[in-house]
Amino acid sequence: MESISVAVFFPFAVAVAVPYFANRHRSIAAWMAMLAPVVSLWALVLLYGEWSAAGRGALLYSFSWVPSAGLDVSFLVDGLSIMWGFLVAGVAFLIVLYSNFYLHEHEDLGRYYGWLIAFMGSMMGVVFADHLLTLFISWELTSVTSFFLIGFWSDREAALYGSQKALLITGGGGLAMLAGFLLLGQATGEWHLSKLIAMSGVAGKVSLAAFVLIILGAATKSAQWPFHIWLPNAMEAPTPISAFLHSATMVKAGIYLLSRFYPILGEHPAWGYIVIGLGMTTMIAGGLLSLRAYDLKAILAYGTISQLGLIVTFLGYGGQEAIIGSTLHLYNHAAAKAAMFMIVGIIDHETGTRDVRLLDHLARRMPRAHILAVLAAISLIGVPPMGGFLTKEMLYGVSIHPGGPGEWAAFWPWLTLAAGIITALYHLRFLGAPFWTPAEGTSPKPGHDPSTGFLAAPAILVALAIAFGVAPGLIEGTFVAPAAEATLGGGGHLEFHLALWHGVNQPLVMSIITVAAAGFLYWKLDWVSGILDAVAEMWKKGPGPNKAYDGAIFILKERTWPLLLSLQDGNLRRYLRWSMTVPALLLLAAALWLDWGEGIWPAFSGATFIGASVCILISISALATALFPGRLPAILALGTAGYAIASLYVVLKAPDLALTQIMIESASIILFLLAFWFLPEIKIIPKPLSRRARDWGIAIFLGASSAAGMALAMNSHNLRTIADYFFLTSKPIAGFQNVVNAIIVDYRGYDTLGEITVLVISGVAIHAMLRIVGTMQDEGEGH
Amino acid sequence: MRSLILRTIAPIVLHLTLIFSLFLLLYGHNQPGGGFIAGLMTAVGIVLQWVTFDADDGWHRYNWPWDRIFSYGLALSACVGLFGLLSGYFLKGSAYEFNLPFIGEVEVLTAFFFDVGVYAVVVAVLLSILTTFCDRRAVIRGAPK
Repeated sequence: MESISVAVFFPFAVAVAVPYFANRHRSIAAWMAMLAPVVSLWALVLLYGEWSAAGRGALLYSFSWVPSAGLDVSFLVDGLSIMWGFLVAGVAFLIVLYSNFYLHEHEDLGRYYGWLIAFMGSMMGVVFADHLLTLFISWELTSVTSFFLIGFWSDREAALYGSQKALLITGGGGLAMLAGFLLLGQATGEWHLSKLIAMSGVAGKVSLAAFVLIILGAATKSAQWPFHIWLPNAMEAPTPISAFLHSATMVKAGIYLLSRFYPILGEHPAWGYIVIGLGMTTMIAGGLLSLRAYDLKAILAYGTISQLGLIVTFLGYGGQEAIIGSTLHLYNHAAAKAAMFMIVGIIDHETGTRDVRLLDHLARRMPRAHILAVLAAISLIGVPPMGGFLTKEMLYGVSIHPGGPGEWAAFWPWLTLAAGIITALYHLRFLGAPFWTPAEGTSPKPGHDPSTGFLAAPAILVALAIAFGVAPGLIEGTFVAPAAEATLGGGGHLEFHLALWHGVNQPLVMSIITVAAAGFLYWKLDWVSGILDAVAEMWKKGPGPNKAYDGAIFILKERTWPLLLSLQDGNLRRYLRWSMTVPALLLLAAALWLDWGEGIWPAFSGATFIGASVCILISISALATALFPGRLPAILALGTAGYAIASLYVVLKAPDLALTQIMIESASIILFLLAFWFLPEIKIIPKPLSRRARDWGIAIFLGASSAAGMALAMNSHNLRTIADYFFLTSKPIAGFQNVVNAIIVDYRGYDTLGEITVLVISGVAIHAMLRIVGTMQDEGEGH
Repeated sequence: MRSLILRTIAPIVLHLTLIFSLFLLLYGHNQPGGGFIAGLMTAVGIVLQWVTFDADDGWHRYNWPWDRIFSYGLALSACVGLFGLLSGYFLKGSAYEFNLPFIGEVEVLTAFFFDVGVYAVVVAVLLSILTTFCDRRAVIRGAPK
């Protein structure tokens, strides 16, 4: 219980604390932020121990959250979530290490590290969530934190566009996923992933709509075509953020979701078609788009899209070998791609540009960065002895014997081969354009190798990428096998052995063809670019996902004004009419429909007489408020009505209410007087009789229906009083006798906390509003 | 407002209202009172005091960092809620008894600290609205012309 809570919640505590300290003690900001991944990793190691001791099955940790609504926070710890937890916390550690060198001294470190660590916590929530709604909340939290991280340099127009696009697409996909979860929950009656996995035949019960909606969540997050468009724009984020969120973790949340749902929905007839279709399209489209990009980060972003497509394709094929391949490739891609992003960050930092047309033979001036880049890239191309070679071979093997839809089986190896060649080609271009070839222009700074500390994080990642290839046994039994078992449904132990050399077989031949073909095409790169440019030129006027997005945003922003203005026309009287008529109608409906019972009217007594006379006073004051011509008399009349109500409470023996009423009345009179000070002199414009009649009608209607509602509440037998319950239990439960206060701070503590939050928000809002009015007036006077 | 009577009475009334509001806050558990009423009472007491001065003068006297105070109040109440998590669930109240020298048995409820948070929020929000209003008044009037 403890270690999992620490792993998930500790980052949030750090995220709250960091902004507070970071900007005062700038030197310790990174070290404080470092605490989160380090402590989480330590907690995960302990958790790994607990989980191993328990037999490496699925462990559940849960505690109740809102017991009355049946909601709980529960964590599912199995091979898959453990592996993801280590991936997230491990990469986070390296990213914080790297950020310390990347960020300039004057940046807002508190905001940066705060959101970064909050993102890490949300990601831990995603991978360990057991309840579907917990998963959804963490999922959307990653979108929100990513929004703030992409828009970190908020003075850049492109950063704002990119962050909005990412939030709308991934957040929207998350909502689709929620709808899918709701349908899934209704169809099966189960909300816990652990139970859904154990259930058999879920795929048969789930409608196509629910299935598509859940896949939509994964596809938007993992930037699958045509939702990939947010990822290149998200590259406006600082480079460590791109390395963390947009290559190693957040975009892989979709992969996690698919792996998680593979045992639940993998049997669904549409799984193979939709998931392979998505993955394959994305893989090829991302690769081709990467070849046309000139910004190094954009090249990598499209490359990431393509690689995500590859992993999705694996999951689409399904079956043991494909699942092992996808799991292993997560590691390879996370290590290699995060290293490549970090190297791009170093190039940007040292030369002042990321445009490959301005970078000239960097291999000569940045030899150490060059070696790391080459090793990372050839891992993803699939060259031995790198880890990427293993997974590339597995993909080719799977494509020859796919577990997915049979009728297209003949095409899969060819499509996969084409995708592999494109992948190799854009990685060669990633290396060639900045490092090997001459530039068309000159970079702002010549560039040289950075300090060893700056290179440390990418070097560690590259070392891992080599280790995964040379000695896959390191992660085979500890992480990959349990994760693959969990993805396959948790039944039985997998026996397999990963090795670089499998003898001469079809996949090896395909690998050799891939490298040879990519090498040839790289030699003829001008020719390839010519074709791609010609196609792009032809398609310039055609539809595309970016055009669809921009068009939809334009319609939402610009074309909705008439609708908005018809609803919110700024006419206070109109708002008032609505807000009085609707409750009056509701009260009237209640009075007509509910049972009035026998109608026990209170007996007439002295108190009734005093009460009645106070009521008359209240009515007169209310009328006076409406009829007095000036503001000041109206406010005073309103105050009289309020104080009269307080005296009514005294008559009815409610001292608390009377006291509160008097205080509120005094405070609001003073605030009214202050507020009206700002308004222009009142002018009474004589209104036509018809409008006056309408206003009187509404007022009388509301008054009459409120009175009816009150009478109903007093007399109906349907509405039993709960006062006795409070009188009996306030001392034993809440510990004090004042029932009113017990309700405020104990029984309804949540409400009170909410109310004071609203109070604080309105205080801040008034403060901000008056400040804006003030500055506007100041400027007005200035001109 | 320059009424002599008001200016003579206001300080006395202020002290009385402050004492009474503290009484309401402390005794709210077993008698009429509580953080909300006590907060309103304190705020109104200060406002009454304020009214007897010129608005700008009042602003100079009571221009405290109310925004911080209401934030701390909200944080205090939320922390009491989190404290409840230790003994069961969010906002669970609990009672502790202390034996203080000279005073004797004192029972402290966590709900009391929650109430103190409510008190701070109510006082500070009302007075922050008031100070912003008066600040604006000062700006709009401008420097003495």
